[in-house]
Amino acid sequence: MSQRRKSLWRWLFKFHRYTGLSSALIIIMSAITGIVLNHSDELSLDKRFVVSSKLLDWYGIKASSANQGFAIQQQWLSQLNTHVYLDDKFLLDSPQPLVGIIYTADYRVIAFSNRLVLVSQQAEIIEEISFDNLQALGKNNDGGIFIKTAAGLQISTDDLLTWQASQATKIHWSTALTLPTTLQQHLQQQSRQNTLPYERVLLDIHSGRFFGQYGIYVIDFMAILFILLVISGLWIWLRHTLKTHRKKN
Amino acid sequence: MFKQLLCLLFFVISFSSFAGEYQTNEEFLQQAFVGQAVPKAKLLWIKSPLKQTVADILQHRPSFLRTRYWQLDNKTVWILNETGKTKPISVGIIIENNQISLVKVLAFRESRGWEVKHDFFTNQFKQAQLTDNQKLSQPIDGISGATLSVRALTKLSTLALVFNQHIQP
Repeated sequence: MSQRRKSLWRWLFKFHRYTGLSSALIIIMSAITGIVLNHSDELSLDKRFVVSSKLLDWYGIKASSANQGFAIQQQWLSQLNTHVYLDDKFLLDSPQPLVGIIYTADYRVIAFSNRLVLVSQQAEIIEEISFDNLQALGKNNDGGIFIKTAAGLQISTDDLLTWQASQATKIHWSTALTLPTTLQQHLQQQSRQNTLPYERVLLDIHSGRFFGQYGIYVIDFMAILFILLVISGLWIWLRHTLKTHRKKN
Repeated sequence: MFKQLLCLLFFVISFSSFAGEYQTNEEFLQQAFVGQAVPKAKLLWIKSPLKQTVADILQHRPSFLRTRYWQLDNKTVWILNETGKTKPISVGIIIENNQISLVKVLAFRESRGWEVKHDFFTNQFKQAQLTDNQKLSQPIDGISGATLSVRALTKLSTLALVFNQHIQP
C-alpha cells in the first residue's frame, strides 16, 4: 500500500473515532428527546407545564397580570391570556375574551364572546353552546337568563335550550370588577407556570433551538457529521471485511 | 420561481378548503327532518352509570355532562363533538329504528385527517347497530393518516347509539 493511501486510511480512522466521540452526547440527546416526543400524547406533554423559574427565565416568559374579574358566590372568575381561573384554580382554556358569569340553582353559566359554557358546582363542564359576538350575560329575578348579541337581546327560560328575542329592561348584567390584590398577585405567579409545555422544551432541545439562535446550525452540522460517521464506518468495515476475506483466500 | 410560488399558492388554497365548517347544525337538522318541522330539542343528562359507559367508549372522561337531541317517532338526531388530535370534530348522526342512517361531519378543525368527511368513509356507518358489549355491529375500515379522526367518528357513532338506547322507554 502506498504511503499516501496509508495516511488516508489513518486519517479516516481518526476522523471516525473523534467524530464519534464528539457527537456521542448529541446523538444520545437526540435519541432520548426523539423517543419521548414519539410518546408525547400518552405522556400528555402538551398539557403539562414547566414550573422551573430558571427555565421560564431562559425562555423570557414574563408574568401576565389580570386586574379585573367577575364575582360569583364568594368566588372570582378571571382570565389570564387563554387560561380561565375560578379563584386561583385553573378552570378551562379560552382564547376568546370572558364576558361574564351568572349562576342558577344547578349550574353556573360562563359567557365568552363566542359561546356559553355551563359549569357544575364541582367545576365540571356540562355543555358548551356556540353564539356569534356575545356581548353581555345577565339574569332577572324570575330566573330568565339573558344574552346580548349583535342580533339583540335574547332570553332563555328553559334550561338554555331555546332563545327568544326580549324587550326586558330589569336585568342584572354580569359586570367586571377589580380583583383583590392578593388574588392578582397569585394569578400573576400562576400565569407564568401555565405557559410553557414540556413538549415545547423537548422539541426545542431536539432541534437545537433551545440553545439559542445558533443552536439549530450546530444540530445541522452534527447531522452532517452523523451522515459522514455512517459513511466512514461503512467504509472502514468494508475494507476490513475485504482484507480478512483476502487473507483467508 | 414563479411556478414554485403558484404551486405553493395552490397547495395553501386547496389545503384551506379541507378544514372548516361544512354544514351548520340548523342545516343538518333540516336535512334530518326534511319536509317536517324540526322538533324541539331535548336534553339527556350524563349521570352515573351512563357517565362510566361514555368514559369507556371515549377512553377518557366526558367533556360534557349533558347533550341535546331531537326526536320524532323512531328517529333521533345527535350532534356530538370529539377531539381528533387537538381540536374537536363536530359530527351529526341520525338514528332510525335503532340503526344509524346517516353520519355526517359538520365541522372539521384539525389540519390532518379531513378525509373522514367523505361519503365513502361515513357510508360505512349506515345500518350499524349497537351490540351487547356496546360496540358497532359492523367493522369500520380506517384511512391511512387519519387514524385519530376515524377513531373519533367511530366513538361518536357508538356514543349516539348508546344515548339512543338510553332514552328508549
